[in-house]
Amino acid sequence: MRHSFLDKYSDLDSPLHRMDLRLKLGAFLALLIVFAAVPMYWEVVVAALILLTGLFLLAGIPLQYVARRALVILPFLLFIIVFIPLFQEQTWLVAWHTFARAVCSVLTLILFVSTTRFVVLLQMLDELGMPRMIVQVLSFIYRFFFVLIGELERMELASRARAPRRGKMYYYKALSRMLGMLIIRSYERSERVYQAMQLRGYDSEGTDA
Amino acid sequence: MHIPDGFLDTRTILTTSAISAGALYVAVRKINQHFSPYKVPLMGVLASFAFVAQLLAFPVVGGTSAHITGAVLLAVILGPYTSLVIIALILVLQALLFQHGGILTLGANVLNLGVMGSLLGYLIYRIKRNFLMAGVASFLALVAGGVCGAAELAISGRLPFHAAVISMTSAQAITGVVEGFVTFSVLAVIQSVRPDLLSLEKI
Repeated sequence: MRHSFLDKYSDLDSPLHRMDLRLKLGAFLALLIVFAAVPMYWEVVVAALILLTGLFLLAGIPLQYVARRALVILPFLLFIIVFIPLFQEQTWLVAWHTFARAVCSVLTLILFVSTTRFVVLLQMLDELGMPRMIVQVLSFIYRFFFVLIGELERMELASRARAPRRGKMYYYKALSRMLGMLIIRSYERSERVYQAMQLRGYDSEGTDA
Repeated sequence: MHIPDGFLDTRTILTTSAISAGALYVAVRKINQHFSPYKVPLMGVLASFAFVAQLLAFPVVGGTSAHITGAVLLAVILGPYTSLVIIALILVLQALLFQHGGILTLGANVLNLGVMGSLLGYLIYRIKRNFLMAGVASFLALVAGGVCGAAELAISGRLPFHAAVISMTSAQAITGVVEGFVTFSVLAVIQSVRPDLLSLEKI
């Protein structure tokens, strides 16, 4: 399988990785709120970018990786820019503010997930009183994500081996059938997993996060 | 379309968060009322399924691609409230792990894709409980989500309302056709291979 773990770099060691999680969560939420509410004059943006870059360097996360992950906001940004002609004078300002807010927020998010292990985050959600069911389902998603990706890749390989390159309509049908089979296999897997959990004394209250 | 952080103003963030939090609170309570322990792995694994399914890109005209949300699909199999919770959790994970959608805009995204997809979609599906209707419901739910998203962007002053509606709804309509087709055919596959999956308890 050719996936990497989703919270890549979260197992590094740096002051940011070691920071108390509640404090860190609070600080990050505060940053996000600031980026959503404060008018983004260019001085503010430059200060924010310097701060975030400094934190990334402190955490030892490659800036190239950060830049690549930050690109996801581009489609939305284009979406705003494309409709600029319909606006009047203020347009470029609005587009710029939105862009600056989005970039700063995305960088903040990347910094948070890259310095926090997912399992630890779940543990904290549990301690903070999040319903146990939610925490358990989240940990299931994270765990079985990789398993199901593997399952899907095997199905795709099998389908390509049997029917290489057909028309688009065929592709649609094949992909839908694959999804159908994936959901059935997922269901059957959940039955087996539940039996295994029961055998090991699972009672739905167990801390499995 | 998942709205990233920075695209909505404070007022919209607060309103949409309140609506979505209320819907989720009701949903979690409903699920807990009918709780049985096997539901945790069932929800967990099917949520991973939806998470993985959302990574599959279906090619659309002109080199663009769309991915499905699976909200109506899950609502038909597991019930609307369970589907809503699963979609909300997937949105949280997508925001955290892929930066697909934001944290402060979670409320808006849950409203557009979860409340509209799972709850409204299921309501439409209930008019006539067959697979075709499920497909139509998927389409309409996505378009409704697009209109909501457009309204949120317009109220936040990022785009004029008509421009937002035209662009968001047309984007969602294209995705909706794919989603409708996939919902229909996946349900047909389940019907022919494991029909008992369609008669689970729906909450």
